[in-house]
Amino acid sequence: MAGALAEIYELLCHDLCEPGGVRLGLVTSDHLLALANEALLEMLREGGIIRAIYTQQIEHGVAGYAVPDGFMRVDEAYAGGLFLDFTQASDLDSNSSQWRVVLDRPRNWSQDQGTTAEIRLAPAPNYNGLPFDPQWGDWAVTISGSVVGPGTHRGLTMVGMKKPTLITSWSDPIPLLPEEIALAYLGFGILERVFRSDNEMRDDQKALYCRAQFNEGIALLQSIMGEPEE
Amino acid sequence: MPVVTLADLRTRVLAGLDSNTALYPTRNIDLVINQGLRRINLLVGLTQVTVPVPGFSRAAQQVYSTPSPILIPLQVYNEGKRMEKVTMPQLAQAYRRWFRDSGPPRRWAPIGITQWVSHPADSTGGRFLEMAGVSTIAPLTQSDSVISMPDQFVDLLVDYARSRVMLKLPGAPFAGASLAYQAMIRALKSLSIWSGMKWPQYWLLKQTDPGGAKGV
Repeated sequence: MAGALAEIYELLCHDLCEPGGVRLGLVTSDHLLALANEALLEMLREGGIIRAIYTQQIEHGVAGYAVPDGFMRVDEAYAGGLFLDFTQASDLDSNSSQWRVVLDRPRNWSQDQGTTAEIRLAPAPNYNGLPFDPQWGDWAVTISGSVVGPGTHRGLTMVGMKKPTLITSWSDPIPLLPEEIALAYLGFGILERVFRSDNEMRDDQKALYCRAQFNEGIALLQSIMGEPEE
Repeated sequence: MPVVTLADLRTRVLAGLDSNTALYPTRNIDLVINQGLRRINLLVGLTQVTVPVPGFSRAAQQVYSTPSPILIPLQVYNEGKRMEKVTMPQLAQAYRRWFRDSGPPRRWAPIGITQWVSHPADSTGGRFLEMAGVSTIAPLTQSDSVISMPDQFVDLLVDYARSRVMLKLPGAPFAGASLAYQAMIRALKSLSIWSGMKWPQYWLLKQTDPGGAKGV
């Protein structure tokens, strides 16, 4: 076993007084892996440093567009490259009951509460964009070998947070989160969950200590993304 | 700038722990020293570098990848001139048809830490773009591995590692040691390159409070 995740596990074992690997049964390696997945998800979701761009075709009269599996959350949407304002569906309803039926150039996007599987454009588009297969990485897309800009293909672009794959072994590579950041902070997110669990491992002071340091990591990532221009 | 070895750092950490290598094995100390080193680097930017964007600017291209070895992008320069950093929503709202604009790149918008958008897209291409940022720090793996950094960071690293390794202790001994984290936050606040960062709070819970210390 080698790699960043293995190093995180090695330090966890020292912290839990089981150097060399957890064997006492107070906590298992599989349980720690599950907690590692939770902590990783929290760090990526709250930190927002790993984003992706996804562009798909817009179709006349179609308001709802599936969010691809690779996204954990959509943060921004663009129609033909034009920025769309995010609006709660309830606000759209209260402003105009017609938004679900009127066709026009989309100006807003919304997501029904509790679902991340689809976003809705409002008004629904009154045009067909150029046909192309959905593509990752840019607002521009490649159609028949040529790069076509968003003003021409008039497709829908989503920008959002990428979803990590599941960690299933301590020898796995760390999904998405750079190793440097994971080695600095991820272990605290795992330990905090161990120390606030409702069993003999519970230790409120240690949980608080680990949470503070995990939060430092999240605050750092938020700062990286939001630091204003000097 | 002072140069220290991993062995020096180990010795200084263990000096405050009665040199008890049975309770605090060398490998454990090494792991927390490297963890502390990474944190200090991420927070204060010890390893800032400026590197060219490979292939220069390209005509009509908007999205670029963060060049290696930059981990955290800080600035982008076009022919040596600093470009304005904006968020993508700010860019797309201030310049509605941003995707049609072309000319010499003047501003950049990060898409996370791995990609960024140049605005306007370069009309001609071939311009010399550079990115400045924080890169990864080489871990100290051998006793004679060295790092060069100011004394204040060395002291901070030793204090961090010494208290951090005591996380394995129970109750009051751990609680007492954990207070070093408050001092670390205070020190890092003044040294960090992230002026807008919201630092966490840490305090002792009453039942383990050895001295009534307050949170920071």
